[in-house]
Amino acid sequence: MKAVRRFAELFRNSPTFGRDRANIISGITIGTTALLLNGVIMMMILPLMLDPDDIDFRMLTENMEFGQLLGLILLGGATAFATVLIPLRLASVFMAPRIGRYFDQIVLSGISPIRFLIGKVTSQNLFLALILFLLLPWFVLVLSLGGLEWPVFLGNLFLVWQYCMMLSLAMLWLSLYLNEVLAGLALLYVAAVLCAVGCAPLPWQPFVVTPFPALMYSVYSAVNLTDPELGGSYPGIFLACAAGMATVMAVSLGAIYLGPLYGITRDNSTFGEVVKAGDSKRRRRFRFRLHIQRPSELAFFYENRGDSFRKYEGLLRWGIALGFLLIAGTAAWSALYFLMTRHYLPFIRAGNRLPWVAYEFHTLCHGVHGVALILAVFLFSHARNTTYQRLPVIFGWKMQVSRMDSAAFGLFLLISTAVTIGIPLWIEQSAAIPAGVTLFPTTEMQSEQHVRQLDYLRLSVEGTLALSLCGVAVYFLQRTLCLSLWMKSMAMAVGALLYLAACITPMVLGAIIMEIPQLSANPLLKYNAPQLAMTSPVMFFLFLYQEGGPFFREGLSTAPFYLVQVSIIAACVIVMRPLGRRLRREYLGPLRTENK
Amino acid sequence: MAVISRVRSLVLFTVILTTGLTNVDAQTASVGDEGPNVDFAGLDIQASAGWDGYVDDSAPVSFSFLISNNSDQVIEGTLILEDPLNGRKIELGEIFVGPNSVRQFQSIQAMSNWYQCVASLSGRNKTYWRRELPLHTGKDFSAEINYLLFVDDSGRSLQLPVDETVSNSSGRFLPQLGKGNPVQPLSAKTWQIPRHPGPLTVVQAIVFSEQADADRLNDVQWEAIAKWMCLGGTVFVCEKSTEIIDRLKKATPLEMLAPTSFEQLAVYRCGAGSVRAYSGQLFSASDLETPRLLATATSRLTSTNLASMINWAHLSWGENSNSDVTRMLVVTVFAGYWLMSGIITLMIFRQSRRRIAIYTLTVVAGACVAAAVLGGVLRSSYGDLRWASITQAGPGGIVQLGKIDVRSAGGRNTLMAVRGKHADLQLMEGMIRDPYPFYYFGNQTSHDAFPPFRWHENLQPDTSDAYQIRVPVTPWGQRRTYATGYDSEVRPLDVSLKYEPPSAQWAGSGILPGKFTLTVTSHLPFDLAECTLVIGRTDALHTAGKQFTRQGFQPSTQVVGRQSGVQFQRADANERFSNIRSSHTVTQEFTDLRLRYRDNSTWGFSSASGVDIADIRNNARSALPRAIDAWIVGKLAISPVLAIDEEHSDFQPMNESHLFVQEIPAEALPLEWLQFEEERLQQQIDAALKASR
Amino acid sequence: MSITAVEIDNVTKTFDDLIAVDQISFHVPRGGTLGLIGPNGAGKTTLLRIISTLARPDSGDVLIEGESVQKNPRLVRTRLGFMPAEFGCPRNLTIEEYLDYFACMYDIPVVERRQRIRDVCELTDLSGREGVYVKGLSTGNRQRLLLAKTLIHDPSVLILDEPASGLDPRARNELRAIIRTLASLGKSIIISSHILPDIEDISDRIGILEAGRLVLEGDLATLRAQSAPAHRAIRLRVPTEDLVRASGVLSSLPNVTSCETRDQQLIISSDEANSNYLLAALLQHDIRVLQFSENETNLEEIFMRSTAGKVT
Repeated sequence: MKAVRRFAELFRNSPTFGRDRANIISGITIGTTALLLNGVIMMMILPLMLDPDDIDFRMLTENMEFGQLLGLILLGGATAFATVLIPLRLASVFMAPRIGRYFDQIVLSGISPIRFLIGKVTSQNLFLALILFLLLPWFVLVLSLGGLEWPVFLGNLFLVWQYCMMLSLAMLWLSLYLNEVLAGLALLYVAAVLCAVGCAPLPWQPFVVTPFPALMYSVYSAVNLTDPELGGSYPGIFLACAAGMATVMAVSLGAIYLGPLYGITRDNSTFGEVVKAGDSKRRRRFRFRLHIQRPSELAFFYENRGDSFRKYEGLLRWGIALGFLLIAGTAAWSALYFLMTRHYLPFIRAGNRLPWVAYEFHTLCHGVHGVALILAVFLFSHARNTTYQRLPVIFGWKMQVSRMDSAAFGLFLLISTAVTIGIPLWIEQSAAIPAGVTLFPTTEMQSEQHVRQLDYLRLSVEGTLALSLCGVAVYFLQRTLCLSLWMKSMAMAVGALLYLAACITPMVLGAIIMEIPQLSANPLLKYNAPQLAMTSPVMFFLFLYQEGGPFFREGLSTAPFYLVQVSIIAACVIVMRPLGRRLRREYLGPLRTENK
Repeated sequence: MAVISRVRSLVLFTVILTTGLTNVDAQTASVGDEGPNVDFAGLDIQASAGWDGYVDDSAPVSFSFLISNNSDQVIEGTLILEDPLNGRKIELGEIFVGPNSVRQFQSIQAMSNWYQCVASLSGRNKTYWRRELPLHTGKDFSAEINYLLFVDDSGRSLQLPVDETVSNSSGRFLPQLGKGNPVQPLSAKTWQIPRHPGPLTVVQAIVFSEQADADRLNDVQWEAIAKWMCLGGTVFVCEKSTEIIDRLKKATPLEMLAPTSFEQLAVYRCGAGSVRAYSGQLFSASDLETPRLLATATSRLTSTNLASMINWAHLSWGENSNSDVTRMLVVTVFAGYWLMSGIITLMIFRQSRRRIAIYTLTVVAGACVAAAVLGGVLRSSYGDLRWASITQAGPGGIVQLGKIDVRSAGGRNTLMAVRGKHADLQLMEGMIRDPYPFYYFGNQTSHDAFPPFRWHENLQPDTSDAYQIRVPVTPWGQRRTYATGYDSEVRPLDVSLKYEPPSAQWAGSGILPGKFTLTVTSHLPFDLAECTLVIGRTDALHTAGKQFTRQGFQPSTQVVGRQSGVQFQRADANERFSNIRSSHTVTQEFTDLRLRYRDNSTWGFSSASGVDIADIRNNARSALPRAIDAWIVGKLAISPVLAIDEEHSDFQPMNESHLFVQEIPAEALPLEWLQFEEERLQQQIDAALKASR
Repeated sequence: MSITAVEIDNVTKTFDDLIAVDQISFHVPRGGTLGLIGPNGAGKTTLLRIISTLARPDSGDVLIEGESVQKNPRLVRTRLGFMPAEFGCPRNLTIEEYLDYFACMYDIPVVERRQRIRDVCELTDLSGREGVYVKGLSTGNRQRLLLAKTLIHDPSVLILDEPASGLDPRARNELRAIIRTLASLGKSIIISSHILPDIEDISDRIGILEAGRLVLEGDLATLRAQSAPAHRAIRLRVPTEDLVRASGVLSSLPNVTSCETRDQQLIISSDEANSNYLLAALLQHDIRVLQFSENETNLEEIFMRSTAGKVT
């Protein structure tokens, strides 16, 4: 009971709620809201009022009660309005204190981030209340015109409220990782797309994280516009929307509580300021090192977080990340298995020839493995001010972030590699052979003229191992760049460009040698051009899938590819050592004396 | 190339992977196939939608139930129709059947948006009986076929003479020499005859056998048949069944004239239809002479009636209707609210928070009061009404059919009432049955029956010659009603038409050569304006020219097939013979009529804005092969039978227009003209045969 | 419960190649007031930020009432009241809403909050102006409001960073009175300022920083003793026309080591403990004495003598 009371206290007793409550009654807020909101509603109502004989409107007004239709327009308008304004209103949650230069006073109050931020979510209720209050005259008109289905209307109103709460929590979560303006724009874009797709009359509506499927249900079932199989019922769609939004709210709330993993920047910043030697106060104010200042502020702020999860922070963060990857991987492999056993294999068994099935199946297996590794590289790497931070894992045992990253990536790499090799073999035994077909054919018709020999077993196993090796090379590259750049996403972008260059350059050089007569006239160059191109992973896989055509001569060795990947790893290890030593000295030096 | 094709198939494979997951269960979500049949010991219910499996859901559908309770319990429950696919549900009515008794139940429903129909009789907590009543049997009514409904309880079905050379004729009668439409016989029991003429307008003729018992139908059913006859239906009765003729004579709202002999039948003309008495035996072991006689007569009947003519009437609301005023009122009130709450609040942002809060509260409260008052005004506002009618004069009086559109100006459950002799008023529902059931009344596919409606009983049963119904309409929504009225005291025009064939060879297809002399004497209590003579004739199919298709041309015994369009032309504009005042006689001569072809032409006239009546497209009687017709058409300034009962209606008339039509009966057409048309048609046929070889 | 409120142990902080704070150690006893003075860039603000958990030292530690600022920053922050040099404030709030905002921030129970706001307003002379918008306040009232906000959660240790900057003499005087009241209430105060007379007036211990190093630290008497000159310095003011004669009379006296004329004043340094003999000599020569003061060594002099004027 105490926990429930404390959780309720979170909402009631939050300073941001008190401040927003004080600010909600202002000429600017009320005037802007009324102007935009009534504008949106008038824009939606005017076509109905000015040209009621239009065919499309007649289809609506003839089949739906006008009161019900007007009620849906009001809720739809309020939802569209909230979708635009809530992210922008919440963009000031950290920016206002930073610009007003009182963020340090907030941190010094010792207030926990969840209590500070939750007030912003609660105050959106004030904003929604203001929206509904300003729509009151419209609701009075709806009531007087009659024809409103109360249960549906109240259900939709609840979903609109839940949608506002979800938008607020998602925005606050994104603001912990992105610049507030970027976070607002990104959330606005995603929410607008989901709302638009949520309006589509799909038999199975997957986009149930907005209220629009429920709002539009009344319209579609009234005008009978859809495939009779839409059927379903309002309660079912209502529960789907409520559950979808509740899931997003829960994940956002947990992520806000846990907070981002930012280490306090040591080398040249204090709270909210990045100081360079010889900086004057004026120049300090106009310095654009937001990418350092923002994480630094949040790091100090999250020192005020409660201790309940602090003892298991390492286990929680890496456990959740690993769990997410495993769940996503399981979903992808299940979909592939389901598709093969329920669609493709029966299709083949029915006598239809699908020469490409085996090829595409193995391509997709490597695709799933590759995407999973890229996600793992991003999740298990941290910026320079965090990578050497020591976090409690369990029972008071502490471990460095970098070591947890390496351990988690290594573990996931093993699991994914094993699954990518194992599942095709398991499907072969459990479904393909009983169906009288094989996913490892020895010969394959490429086209009527050309029959090709392709060893699918080697393609599956060696392709997977090669992909894992590339994954390790990319990971080391990412970890090295993280030690020198401030932002993990910047490191990921630079790493991607570097590795892309490593893939493209050998291909281009090999092609140039083969294409330019002067070069290809030299027998030595001509003989070694394919070998040079083979250093590129792309060429390696083209060779493995026998897509290179005449370019790959007989007896070509794949050793150059392995050589290059191993040398990338070695180079990274060599570069990481001095960088790591300097950062450890800076971040672990004084602490080591303390912790002894 | 291999790489490109491989990438394309890879993308396809991935797309299937992603979408396959989301839709894999969609197919398995279709409705279960198992049958819904439920029965109850001792309870036998015969139920039907339409007749003989023929259901026209673009017309009012007649649902009939014959409930026999052979158990010793009282059966009490509600008859319900449900569409499991889209959740629609209609309660037909409460049923109470005592032990060992039989009960008939009849209902008329609009089924234009229904995919499947399951009828059930449900008690308080149990279902006694459930059956599926198929709506989509593949047997649809067609405008190219005439339907002969044989009403008989003996279980026999009418056999018509069939042409052996045509395969799969499904018992249809094909008229000799293509003169007339094919005739499809249908069977119905007496308990399947509806209580309103609407559903009957899909058939052209009803036939009773010589053993038919008049008492098998109740008075409401006889009245429905009689009204259907006045609207253009034909009833074949054995000349010995005088009791049936008397029941019809008593039930008809118009006067039934004395019989005249026509094509071996005694024809009692009444309004636009007639009773035709036959002498032979319907079920003779030796020959099918009587069935052939009736089938031939039926094939010559037009499938057009007053309902199909009025379907083409185009209506407009005119200016400054109540709906326009109330809509502008809503826009004005909320534009003011927008100004006060948005712009003004922004302008006073320097004020204190308390003052801003007070101002906002005041503005919102004021707007709420204004909205409530506005809502009250809208709820009590009068709606708009526009209507058009066609009055057909014929033997025994006049029949008026009105198409009345009502539009709410903000109100909801509103009342609609008409006055007039034998007045009837029904509310139409979804007009066109397709995936987009929109209510675009202006343009109607050619359809010869009443639009679908759900029968509404009269809310003013005690007031004679008045009919009031409730019109549930959403604010600014539109609904359509059909009203009918009959007046037996109005004598039709006396018309005489003479024709002198041309002396020389006639000049070509665009001209109707020769001289017509038309003399009209009006006994009508009202004046006619802009009158004109409208003539219907038939052409043979042309194989040459792109205009016509070979459809229906049968080079075997059937010389002439159904031509592709209705060749109804009207006399040229200058041939109009202006107004016919009440109790006056007008004589007009027409020489070498210049004719205008209208494909699928139909009656059309517009509102008072004065679109020239010369633009009439005439489908008064779709000209059947080898048939010719002639009509007098004019405009009426007033509505002769029906009137909008403004006192008991929530709508105000905005716009009305009335048309008068009277057919010159076949027997009154000049023989010279008939022979001339016969020779012309034969020449066309010979030319068509030569061209087809 | 330790007897020292604030203990700074060998704290170092560098920015790139700049050593902002270089191995500083000192302590502030409970209820004591330490004045921290030093030129711009001496590291005062960096040190105060480290003490108030807004920066991490590269080495060394700070204990606030026995709690380490690095290991348990959240607990330290609840015991600490930090008044920053710049006044930052949420938009569009009145004084009461501003104080309520931070009272809620410090999780003060709602029932106590109104009374607590009334107390701090009274202490900082803001009573009766709770409804005034913060953005309309004068600099003096803003500093008071900032001080009120700093006291709202009744911290035991106060860190005041240049509280009197930008104030007129009267406002400074009132602020000094408030700080004296706080000291008397048992608060431990660390105050940094450029206005040396204010520091001298309210601090019982002084710390002088230069180029990141603590050059001098201790109570005021000790500092005076440590930095007092060999001779006593006396200031005399006589009518302008008697200035030269008076200088000559005084220079000829046996215990007078030097007699300088500066700004229409005579600065005499003498070995004699009692300076009355100077007055007697002037009276004998019928020279009117307008002003006579015997300056002990003031903080400014201590500061000027102990710092080399290094600026980073």
